[in-house]
Amino acid sequence: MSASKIRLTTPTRLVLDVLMSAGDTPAWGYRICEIARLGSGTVYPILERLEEAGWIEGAWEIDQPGDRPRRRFYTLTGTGRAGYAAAVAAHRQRNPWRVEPRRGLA
Amino acid sequence: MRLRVSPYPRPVNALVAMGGILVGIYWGWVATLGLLQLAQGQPPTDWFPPQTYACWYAAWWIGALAGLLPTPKQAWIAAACGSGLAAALGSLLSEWLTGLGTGAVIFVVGLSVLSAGCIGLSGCWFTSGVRGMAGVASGLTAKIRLARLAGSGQRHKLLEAVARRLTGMALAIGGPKRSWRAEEFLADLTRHGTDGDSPGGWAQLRHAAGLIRGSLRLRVGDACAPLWRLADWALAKPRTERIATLTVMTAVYFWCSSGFSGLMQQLVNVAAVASVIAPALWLRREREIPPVQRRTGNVTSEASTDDVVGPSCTEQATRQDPKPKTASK
Repeated sequence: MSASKIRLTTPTRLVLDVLMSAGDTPAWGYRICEIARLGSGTVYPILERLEEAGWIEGAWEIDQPGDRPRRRFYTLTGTGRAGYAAAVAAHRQRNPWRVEPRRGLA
Repeated sequence: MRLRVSPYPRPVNALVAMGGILVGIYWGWVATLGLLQLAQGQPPTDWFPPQTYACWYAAWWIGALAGLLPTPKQAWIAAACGSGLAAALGSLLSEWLTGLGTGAVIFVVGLSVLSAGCIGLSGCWFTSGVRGMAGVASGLTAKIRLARLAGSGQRHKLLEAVARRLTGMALAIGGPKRSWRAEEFLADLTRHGTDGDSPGGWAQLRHAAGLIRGSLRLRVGDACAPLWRLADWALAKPRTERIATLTVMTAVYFWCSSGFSGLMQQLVNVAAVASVIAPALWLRREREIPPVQRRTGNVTSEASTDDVVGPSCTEQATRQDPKPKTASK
């Protein structure tokens, strides 16, 4: 099993759904929690795992806001998109009867 | 912008101090019991003679006194050296008096050094932990009074202050490897200027509590990474089958060679092996562990560890701190 392989649990899939649908809208920690309707205790470990596996990429906000610290924005990498597509296909093959709505930033 | 997540140094020290106190109470109890037996002239009812307990007692006090030294490193060195010497002396005395045995002497000395080191460290942590807890308690008490006097505005500030301290605790739990996330955690906690709304105090508190939970999960994951690596290695096909076969063959051998009593005893072992195999195979499927890959050629070797281990352990093992890049968004 390569390091880039991630077990696609339901929370991981929800986080990846949010990132997939983000497009140009920056996705950051709290925003992902809000849209995926997951707690911060679930989302941050997932983000760390995905980042280490190279599925997503984190980058700090360029502009330094005056009233708050900088946010960290997350985007899917090419590896992440390919891996996510493959994992979703495998998941659907195993569970063809399950249809779950996607949650996104749009 | 200077980030200040908590006005107190490492609030988690309070928890560690409590652990240290518990360890100290336990060893103190054990040592006191041994001393009482010694004073009453009774033979020791436990594994070790009373002299050993006396040494432990001395080691405990050395550790506790070493905790007064200014830095944890000094305390640990003093506690370990002092109590190790005391334990070695006492154990050699026990060996001379009662024939304790070399192995037991080594065990006692090692245990004394370890426990005294723990107590020495927790002694330092105890000081800062109590100070931190007292500061948090007095600060919160004052703020609760203010909030009651001033109404919901102050209550919001109080909840925000608690949430910030919980965030600081989450960072401390996450360890130095994740300290760079402080800015991200605080930005997500405060989230000022997001869609023009301001987060409620309770929402911030929930978010901070979740951060603690997440940090705990990450640290548990760090600690379990080597075990997962080992489990993934053993679960790769056909290693599991080989290990199971070997175990069953051994059980059958003992079964055949030990008569009826051995049969009954080994039947339990066979059942135990069978009860382990099913979860192991399930785990293999769940973690999607591929079979061991073999190279073509004259030399047959197994795949490298990185090829067969599961995702979580590989992720933990090859963890690198993401560099703070900047985004154009």
